[in-house]
Amino acid sequence: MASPVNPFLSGTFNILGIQITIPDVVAIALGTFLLANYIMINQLIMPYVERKVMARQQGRRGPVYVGWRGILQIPADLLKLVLKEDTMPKTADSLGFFMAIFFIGVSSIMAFVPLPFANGVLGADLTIGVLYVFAIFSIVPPAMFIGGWASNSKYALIGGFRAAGQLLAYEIPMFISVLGVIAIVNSFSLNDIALYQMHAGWFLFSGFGIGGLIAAFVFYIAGLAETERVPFDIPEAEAELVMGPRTEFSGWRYALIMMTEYVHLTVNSLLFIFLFFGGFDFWPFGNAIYNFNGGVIFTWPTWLYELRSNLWIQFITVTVKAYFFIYVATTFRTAFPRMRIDQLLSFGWKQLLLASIFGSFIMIWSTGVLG
Amino acid sequence: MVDYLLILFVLNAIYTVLMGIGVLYSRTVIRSALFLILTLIGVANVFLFANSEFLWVIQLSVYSGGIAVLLLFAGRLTSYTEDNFEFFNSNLVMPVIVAGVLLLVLLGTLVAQIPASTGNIFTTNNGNTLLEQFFHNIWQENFGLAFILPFLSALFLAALLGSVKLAMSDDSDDYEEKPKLYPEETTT
Repeated sequence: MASPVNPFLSGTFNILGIQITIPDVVAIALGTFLLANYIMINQLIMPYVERKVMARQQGRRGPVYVGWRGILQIPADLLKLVLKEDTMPKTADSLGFFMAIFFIGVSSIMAFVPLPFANGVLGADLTIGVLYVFAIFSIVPPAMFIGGWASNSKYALIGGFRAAGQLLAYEIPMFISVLGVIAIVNSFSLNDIALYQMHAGWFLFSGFGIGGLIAAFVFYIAGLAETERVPFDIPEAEAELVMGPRTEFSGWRYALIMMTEYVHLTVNSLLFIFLFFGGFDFWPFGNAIYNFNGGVIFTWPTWLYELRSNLWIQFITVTVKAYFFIYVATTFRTAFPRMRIDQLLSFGWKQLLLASIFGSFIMIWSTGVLG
Repeated sequence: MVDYLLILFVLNAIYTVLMGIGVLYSRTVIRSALFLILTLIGVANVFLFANSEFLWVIQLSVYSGGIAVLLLFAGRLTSYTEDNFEFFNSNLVMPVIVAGVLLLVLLGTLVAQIPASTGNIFTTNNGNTLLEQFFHNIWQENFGLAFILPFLSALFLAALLGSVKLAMSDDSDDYEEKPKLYPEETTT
């Protein structure tokens, strides 16, 4: 039986002369517990990091009072939201109001399953890895729309319309930008994609140095739009729509929605890392430097390969990269003004779609898959 | 030995049928669409039982995601009032019965092709895929319809053009029946 922690726990320990074997069931339960806790605890740290970074960029101090340097601010906020009275508008559609939260919450947690945190350390190595994440995320637009409609509020409804339109417009370029990677690796599994990059170098630099760059750019921009981060936060534009489709949700429902926003951001950052930034590998140049015919020009030393293969170093690499992209997304939030809905849609359908096709094509062409 | 897969399959089937009934008996169009999404998720899960994860993913992302948004937009942006929204239109009884019988015949011929020994629903006794067998052998030999696919394509094209014509001939000056934006509009 495969377990997320099998690479860590070899199954048998020798403690003080006594052989202890860990049963598979315990290993699986322990692995699931560790991975789930790792993900959820990071969801409490990320908003703190974002608030601190944003505050520094704007010349403020951010949260300072609760805990050391305000580190307990987010758990305190969460506690307050969970303890609040659960209210629902009198004329709201109760089923839609509940199902929207259900869909959004469940889908965001399910998306973590095929993401490896080190070589082989993942929930399940699905054969359809990347596609699975896209499929799970494609449930979100209708859920947003239904949530907005069920709230029985004009702000929520308009926000729901915008959210559904925007998510749909950016899902397609996002998917096409991944096609090059999938065609080269010949697998949907994120673990396989990361291992391929470990061998042949990051996909960011593939495609004559330009194809991968274009595809990565399209993927990141589309990911920001998918997560409704600030240049693209039109569905919840505070000045126009209060909070968009989330306007009427309060208490634990609001907490859940805020959590899923950060989960989305994390999943998108991790996907970006696994598809273009080498996954759990910190070394961008692969095992060796190859010439155009595939011949080896220069091989990197073996100790470097052993260092890169260490599971703990891979785990730390993924975490550091994820936080780096949280930092980048925060910088985008501070630096750029919000787009208008028509600008956003035309940018998505007219420019990003073309760029994604272009980038993927160059990536595939450069590797000679086309013959 | 309990067959857990069978239990899961039956549970999924019951869930799908219940959600399908929900589509019919919902009082608002958007609720119907919500139940339809749930039904489509149940239908997608059937592909998982047939070991075809790829189809499962495609069904989820295309139908439960894309098509669902299309339906929701259509339901929200077209004008209708819930008073004249009849669920049991007597004009439709005969067509529904005919369509149901046809669907049963189609499903029956498909199921008859599955070899009982293997239970594999994707290949037949001859080793052909089920659809090849279905279109080339059954219809061609039994009914003499070799061109069933082009015929269906032409039929769908005609239906598409007809629906476009219907949509265009809608009287756009009539704004008296405004679409209801919310489940229950209240005046305060």
